[in-house]
Amino acid sequence: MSKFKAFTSLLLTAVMSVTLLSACASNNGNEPAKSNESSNTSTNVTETNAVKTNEEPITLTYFLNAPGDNVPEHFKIADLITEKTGVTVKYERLVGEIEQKLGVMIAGGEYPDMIYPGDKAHMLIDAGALLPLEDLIEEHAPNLKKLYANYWERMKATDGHIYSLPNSVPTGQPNRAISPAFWIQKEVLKDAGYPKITTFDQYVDVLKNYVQKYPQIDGQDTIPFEILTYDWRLFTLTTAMQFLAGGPNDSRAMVNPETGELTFYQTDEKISKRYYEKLNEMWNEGLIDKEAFVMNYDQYLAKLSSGRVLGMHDQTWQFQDATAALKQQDKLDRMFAPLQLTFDESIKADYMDVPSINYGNGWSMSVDNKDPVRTIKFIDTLASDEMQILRSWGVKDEDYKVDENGRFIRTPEQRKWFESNENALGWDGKIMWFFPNASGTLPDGNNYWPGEQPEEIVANYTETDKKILEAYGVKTYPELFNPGNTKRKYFPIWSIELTEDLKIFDQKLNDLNKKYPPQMVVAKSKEQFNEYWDEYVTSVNKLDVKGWMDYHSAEVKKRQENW
Amino acid sequence: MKSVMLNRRMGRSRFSVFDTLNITALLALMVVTLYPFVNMAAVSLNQAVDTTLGSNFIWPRKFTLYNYKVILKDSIIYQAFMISVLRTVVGTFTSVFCTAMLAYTLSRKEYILRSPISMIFVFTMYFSGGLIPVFMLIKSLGLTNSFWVYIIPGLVSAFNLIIMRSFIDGLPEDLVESAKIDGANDFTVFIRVVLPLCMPAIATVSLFVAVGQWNSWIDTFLYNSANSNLSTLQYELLKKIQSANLSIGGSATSAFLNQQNAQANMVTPVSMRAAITMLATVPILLVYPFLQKYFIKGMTLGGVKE
Amino acid sequence: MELKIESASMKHKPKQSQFVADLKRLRRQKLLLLMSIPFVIYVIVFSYLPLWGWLMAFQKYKLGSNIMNNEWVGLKYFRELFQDDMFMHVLRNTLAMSIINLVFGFVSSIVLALMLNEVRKVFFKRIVQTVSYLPHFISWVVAANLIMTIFSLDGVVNTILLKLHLISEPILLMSEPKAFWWMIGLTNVWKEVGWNAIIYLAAMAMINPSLYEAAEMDGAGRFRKMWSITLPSMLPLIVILLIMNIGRILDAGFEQQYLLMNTMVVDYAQTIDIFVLKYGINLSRYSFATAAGIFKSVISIILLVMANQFAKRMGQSRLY
Repeated sequence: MSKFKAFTSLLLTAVMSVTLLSACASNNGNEPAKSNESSNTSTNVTETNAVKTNEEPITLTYFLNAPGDNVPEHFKIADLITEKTGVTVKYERLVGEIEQKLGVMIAGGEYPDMIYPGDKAHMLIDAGALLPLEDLIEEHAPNLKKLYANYWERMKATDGHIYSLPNSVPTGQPNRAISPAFWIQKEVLKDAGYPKITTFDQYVDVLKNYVQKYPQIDGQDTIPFEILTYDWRLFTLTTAMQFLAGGPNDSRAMVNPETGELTFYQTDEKISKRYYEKLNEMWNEGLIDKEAFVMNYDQYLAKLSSGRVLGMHDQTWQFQDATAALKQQDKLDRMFAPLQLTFDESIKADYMDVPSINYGNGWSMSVDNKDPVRTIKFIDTLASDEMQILRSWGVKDEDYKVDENGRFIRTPEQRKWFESNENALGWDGKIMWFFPNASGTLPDGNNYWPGEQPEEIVANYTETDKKILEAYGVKTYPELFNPGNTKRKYFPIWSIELTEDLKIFDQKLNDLNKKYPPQMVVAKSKEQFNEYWDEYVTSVNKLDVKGWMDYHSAEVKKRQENW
Repeated sequence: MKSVMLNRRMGRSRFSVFDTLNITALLALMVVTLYPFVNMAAVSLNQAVDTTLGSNFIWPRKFTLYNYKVILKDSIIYQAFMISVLRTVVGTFTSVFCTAMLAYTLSRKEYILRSPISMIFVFTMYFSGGLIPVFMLIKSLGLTNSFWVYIIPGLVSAFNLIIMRSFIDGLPEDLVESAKIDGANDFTVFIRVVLPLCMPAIATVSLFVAVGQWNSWIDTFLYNSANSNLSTLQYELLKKIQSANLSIGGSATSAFLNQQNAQANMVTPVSMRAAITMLATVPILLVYPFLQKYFIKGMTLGGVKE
Repeated sequence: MELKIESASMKHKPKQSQFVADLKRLRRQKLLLLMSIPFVIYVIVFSYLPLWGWLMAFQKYKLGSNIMNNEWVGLKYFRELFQDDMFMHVLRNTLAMSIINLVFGFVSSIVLALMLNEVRKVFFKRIVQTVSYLPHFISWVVAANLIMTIFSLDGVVNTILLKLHLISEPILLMSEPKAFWWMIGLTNVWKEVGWNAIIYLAAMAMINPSLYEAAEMDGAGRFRKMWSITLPSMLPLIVILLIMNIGRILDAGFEQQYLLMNTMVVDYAQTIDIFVLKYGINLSRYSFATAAGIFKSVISIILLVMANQFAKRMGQSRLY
């Protein structure tokens, strides 16, 4: 499984923030001809359907490249929407492999009315399966036009058309969510007296002190540092160093935000070698779990859930199950707090994502759509602030309250009610996010999404959280982190669509990353470590690193200049 | 020589060293093969979050039926179960009958096309045109969005055919000959003589086909996913597993809270897989004893007089 | 019980002079034709017709396009496959694991069937047999989890080995590159032995009991009966299964290895199928995947034909 693919689907559904795909569909010979064809279709359809009224009921089908619960035929929000617009949506969520699913869909040449292609939009665009949206939006969709105004040019595919409307468009005050971080058990922070930890070395020392003091937790050996290495999740090992070196959540290369220059860090002695060397020392001191390179994902979660792991580098969405398990056992202090670490004090940490959208990745309309005008008007209605509030917060007083200051707030009972998967499914079908939406704040300062409303976030903090945050002088965890660097307009690198050759390069590098870095970490001596490092560098350099760098440099430059 | 003598003597005693060893070994095998299932049952009845701590147990630590409830509350499961039963029953009967009939013709020594037909079938085990050509064929035959896509493409599998032929080949030739002399044609011989004598083989192939039918979901995924009336149990269960990966926390609205905010009753992929394994396996296991008698009794069925 | 029926019937076949006679015979075999020809048409439609898809291997196939409108690239994808650094590697792993699985699989299931056959209490026999095939119904995802837990540092295996003082420190068997192939073989036996034994049990059930009675008259013990009646009666089936499996030698599978592998053993775990999955289908490279499929099919059929010829020469049962 490609790292990005799985990475994407999980990230998407869990954190609902980032995902991939730039507007660069792979170029091939028939491109111009095909796009003309598609735009003709669109204008034809536009003309013929413009006459239709909006009032008669219509059912639209919507296929989503995102697995999940069967969407019920009726749920509260959908019924309210149908009442208002006359549109009923029939959903089909992905089961099995998306490559197969789209493969046969394209081969068969029959498409649902609407498609959420996720990171596979390029397959559909190449096959001429998607309808260009820009004219439809200009003509019929003022809300969408407004929502995407700042990103209009960036959403265009290489052929100049807009095929997908990405989710979570940064609006007002953008959200700040922590995903990648070095995590530390809250108990360790407490025990050490809430020290200021900014470098990786300090972090390791704090872990080391704790394990010396408490070699066992609840009768089991303490694990000072854990590494998730199973399958594609290995990226937690091979990308951690970019953060220590002051980079954001890119991959393979780091971009200088001032000059737009790229550094390929995977084989960089000052970055990757430095990190692996440190890990190798830690391994030989017994600070890393002996099973780190053998266990699978479930075993990783089991270890975190046991409360005996003191720290790890990971992204929030990968260990939610463990957090839940710790909470259920009432081991609240064994849960984890995020840290933004660097190699040394002189480096400025840059962990937070720059507010951006996933260009080319979002709600799309197929060429088989029965009524494109009606559909775009429907989507436009959903994108109005009023409907967005309905989709995320629900009905005033029933699903949330508005306090005297005009703040949206949920009562503890409401919060509890929404925790249940069943309740949520019967409420919004857990599907409302998959229509164009904003993320950030409304003009009145409330957040579009309850989960990002500060009051809601704080309501979920434990006593320990409050003590930790107080000790560091902030109110929420994200405040502990530097905000994303807005000079990084290109962000993120991994959303750049790859050519076939680069996809192979990427897979090859993944394979090398799976083989060598683990061997370096467990090397018994410095010599052995260096041997593996040299072998790794030689193997990586056999690949077309230059081609990869040239392509990405050019793409980053394009983005930095045009966006 | 000596050991043969020994064996012979021991073979007559009621309970020999061999029997002891044999039974001990079989008991050991039973332990290692039963364990996963017991473990699975326990995990399926254990609170999902608690299972995250480690799933190495054979009795639920924190008993709950929630994992099953999550799966069974979706009414489509029952409909899908019926379709699965139907495809298994219809698929098994048609496939076994056709396979056996064809196998019979291929076991007739005098049949001229016996070898070429065998060859044509055998080769199909080793190639495939690939996903897309097969899909387009099925579509052009009008089998998409139809129940028959579960039955027709898998009607005769080369493997089962060869197995069946091999069993029929093992039958005494003179049985068929004498029936023919009595004036029976090939079809009557097949129905009256060969089928009854081949019950162990029929039972085996039925089991193979039935299990294959019951476990299949890829055909639902590729051909019938747009029509929920034709959904199958395995396909619906697969959906449950995939959504379990994502269903911690509630709706998208609370997705951001997941880090802090989890519920005791949530489902995880591990417990979901356990409950699903139980639900998917138990029905097909129930069928087994009915087939089993044909090949476990041994040495009685072959005893039809010659 | 006739063992060499097939070879007997295939003797003397003067090719050309027989043609007319054959046609005549065919006319007398109308019913047999009627009972078989529909299935021939069926198999041609469902299995041979889609083979046009193989054309994809020789062109830069674009999804959704007409197969004849793509750019032809000749053997490009085959070259890519054979010239890849990893190809020899995954081929070696595939062959090693296939052969281990073949040998272990055959021996274990035949032995289990023989052992079950020696159990006199039908009830016990039924129980053992039912239980032993249970793991077949557990998906590899679930089974892999279980295996990983059992072989972990604090797992059952280490606990037992430590108690027996066979080791002084817990070992991580799953991280030993050299052990990986054998672990695949063993876990495969564990999962499939009961299931694979069924077919041999059925074969035993079809043995004529009078053969045993006669042998007993001669004073044969249980091993003698096993050796000279049970095994020879099963031989045609065993040979046929063996030939079919030799053709499958490049199918070491991918699920089991994919789920059981870890970073320490990657070099020994990747099979052809995993390789094709990663560099073909997952990257939407249908042409590459098809080329690999053709390669596998060609090798399979060559091996199959050779094995079949060999069996024919040895006077054994054969596939066609």
